[in-house]
Formats: sequence, C-alpha cells, structure tokens
Amino acid sequence: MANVPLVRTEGKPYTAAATAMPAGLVRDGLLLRASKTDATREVERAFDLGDCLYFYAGHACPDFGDVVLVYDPEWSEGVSGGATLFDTGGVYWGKIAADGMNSGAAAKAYVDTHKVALPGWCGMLQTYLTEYFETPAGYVLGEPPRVDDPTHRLRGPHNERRAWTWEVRVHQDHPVRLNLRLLCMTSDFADELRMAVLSLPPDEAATWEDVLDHRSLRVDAAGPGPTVSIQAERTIASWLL
Amino acid sequence: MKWPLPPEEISIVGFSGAPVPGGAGLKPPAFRHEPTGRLFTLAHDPPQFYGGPEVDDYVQRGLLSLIEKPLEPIDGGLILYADRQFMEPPGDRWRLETSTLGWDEKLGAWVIYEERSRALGRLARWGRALIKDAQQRLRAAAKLPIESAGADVERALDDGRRARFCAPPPENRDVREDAFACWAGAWLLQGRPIDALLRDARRDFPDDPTIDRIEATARDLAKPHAPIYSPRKGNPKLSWAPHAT
Repeated sequence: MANVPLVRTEGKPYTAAATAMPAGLVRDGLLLRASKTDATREVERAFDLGDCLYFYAGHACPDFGDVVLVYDPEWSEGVSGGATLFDTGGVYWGKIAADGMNSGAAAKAYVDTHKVALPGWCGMLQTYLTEYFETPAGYVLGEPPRVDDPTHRLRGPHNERRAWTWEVRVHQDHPVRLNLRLLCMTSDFADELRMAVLSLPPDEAATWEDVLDHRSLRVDAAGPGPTVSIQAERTIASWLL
Repeated sequence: MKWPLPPEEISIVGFSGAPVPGGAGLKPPAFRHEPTGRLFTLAHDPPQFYGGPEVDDYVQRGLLSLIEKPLEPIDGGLILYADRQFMEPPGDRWRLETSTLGWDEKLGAWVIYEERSRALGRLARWGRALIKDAQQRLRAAAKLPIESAGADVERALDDGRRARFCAPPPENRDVREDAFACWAGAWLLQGRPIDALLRDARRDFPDDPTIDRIEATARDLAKPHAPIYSPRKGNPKLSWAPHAT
C-alpha cells in the first residue's frame, strides 16, 4: 500500500501570522516554523511539542488557505519531531472530545499517550487506517472512521475530521520543493507564483518551472468546480486506490 | 540604465463564494436569515447556520466574510474581491473605478457579490481598461529615447500584470493574451529577453499561433526599440540592440 503523503495548507493572508505567499515561497524556498499563530505556540508550550512545522497526513485543511503542498512522507521518518493521531490544537482548545479528557492535565496526558515517534510513523498510520477506516482513500476524503477507539474519540458525536486525522510535526523548516509531489492552488495564487518565478535568474527559475509544469494543479478560482483542498484530496486519494 | 524591479507582493483580485470558498483565504459570504437573525453560508449543503457570537468569532478569524448589506443569495453567485493595491495603486498608476464596490475593512479588500458571469464581465472591463492604458504608454515610450521611457514602461508593466489577474484561466482569454503582450512589450523596452515570459504564456496558451500573436503584438508595441528577430524561432547571431538616440 502506498504511504499517505504529508499535506501542508498555506496561503491565508488575512491573519497576523506569517504565511507562505508566492513571492516568499520563491524567495525563501522554505516552509517556516515561524508561520503559525500565537495560539499554536500556546499549544506547543502546553503539550511540550517543541517548535514545530505542521503537516496533516493526507488532509488538506481549507482553514489555512487555498494553496496545498503535498509531500512524499518518507523523509520525515528521519528528522526530529513527532506525530499524534489527531490535531493537538483541537484537543487543547476543546474542539475534540474523548473519554477522560476533562482538564488541562488530562488533555496533556491524553496527548502524551497518543504521541507517535516519527521513525516508522508511515507504517503505523497504515495499521491505524486498516484498523479503523474502510480504505486509506476514504480517510483522505474525510470519511469518518468505521469503528470507534477505546476513548470514543473517533466516533464522538461532536468530533469532526481533525479528531481522527494524524498531525505530523517536524522540528525544522522544510525546503518547499524537497520531496514535493503536488502543488495545488487557485489560478490567482498560480499567477502570483509564476510572476515571482519570472523574476528569478534562469537556473533558479528552472526548478520552479519543473514544479509548475509537472507537479502542480491549478484550480479555477472563478469556476464552479471543486475547491483547491477538495481537488488536492481527490488527487491524493487516487494515488492510494 | 537600471530599471526598477517589480514589487514583490503582487496585488490580487480573486473570487470567493459558494460553491467555491477559494480565493486566498477569503471565505464564502454569510447571509442574514430573517426573521431569526441567524446567518448562514452557501458553502454547506444544507446551509450551516451560525449565531451572533459565533459569527463574530469567525469573522475575526477570517473564516467568514460577512456582507453587511442585505443581500439575496444568488444561485452560483460569488464574491469578487480586489485588494486596495489592485484597485488604487499608489503613485502614477492607472486606477480602477471602485464606486460600485463595497469596502470590507476587516479584509482590507473591495468586494462585490454577484453572478459569476457578471463578475467575469466586470473583470474583463477592468482588464481592457488596463490594457488600453498599457498600450498607450508603451507606444509613447517606444517613441522616446530609451533613457526617458522608464516611467511609462513601468506603468505599462504594472497594467499588464494587473490585467493578467482579470483573466483567471480559462476565462477572459482575450484579456489574458493582451496582458501577456503588454508585459512582453514592456520587457522588450527594458531590454530584457522575453523567452521566459513566452514560456510562461504557453502554460495558458499551448497553441503556437497565440504565442506568435503575443510576441508579434509585443514587438509591434515596442517598435522601434524591439529587435525584429525572434529568439524563440532561433537566430543566434543577432542580439538585442537598443534604438540609438
């Protein structure tokens, strides 16, 4: 079975936090740990997560913008960081419910219990998907788990997708193009990115042109079709069939 | 002569609206549901309703765009939004008419909610206005000594870049083609090769005739500064030689 890729959603510009805009992506070439809100830093402190760059396994979350970067995941097994079987922010802010999670200390204990080391996480996710989901593609497309877990998190009546989506955290900035398998974006974002690439010297532009020509999907921002996140997840799901 | 580099952050124009909550983080409009006072968005089927405090929270977090004016949901309607830089750039740049748009302070953008076809038509009108200004500027610049043409060329370049956002592929194809031609014309007047730009245009126009037309229009706009050969078609012995003045 193919590994579920890492997904990073970026591009929401109307927040105080730094985010990956096209010119910055091209200029810096890095996904930055600094690209997060104070609320996320609070979660990191509370749960002893360290200074993290966040990905979801297989989920393109539209709340963070409409440019979706999809990575082959194997590289992350060899770096510092960790994973959890759910969104840690969702637990901290009370958006995810599970048995016994009735205080801050209990929430931290719950997170600690469900932490997964990065070496081998891809295989552990496959085991998790086999145990709890109909198919890996269904997980990527947001279908709920078919069975519950012992803490009733997976089938909690008020829990949503982030309650069962794996969060993968690395303690380093990540080169945007390294292991990039797919860049899915609106036509507006694509235009900005293309303009930024045009300002590069030819040798630097060449690698971005490869991304634009062979590893990207452009979604018509004005069209009636699926959103960027849905389009990205459908593409990922097709890899897992 | 050193030409100014284009601004790093391009001002944008984009769409948002059911069923496309895309467009750089701007989310679908929320409509007031009378008489309860609740609000709902068309991004969900069935519609998802929100209470007052919840709406405030979502608006503050930028998850919802709240249209203050009373509006009726339009089937397939969407928000057309454009940031201030796009509509009213500073300095001696072509400004677009904003009188029919609403200003959203929280978003820092001009917005209007309307049918998709009307929004595309509005964009096309903006694009054509920008292109017309760019063409006039380039023709004027081409008649000047190259050292004196900077301001006109810079403005035409800005026009061309903004016009490109008025033609989100595959819509308003003619505007996009002309935008590329203006941009390429400006590059020619700046003494820059246009090969990379034409390669980029090919991502939207894979057919040779359109690319040839873009190149020909650009060279026509940049006459007499533009070289008359085509690097894309190969003529390595010739090189760029600015018009002697």
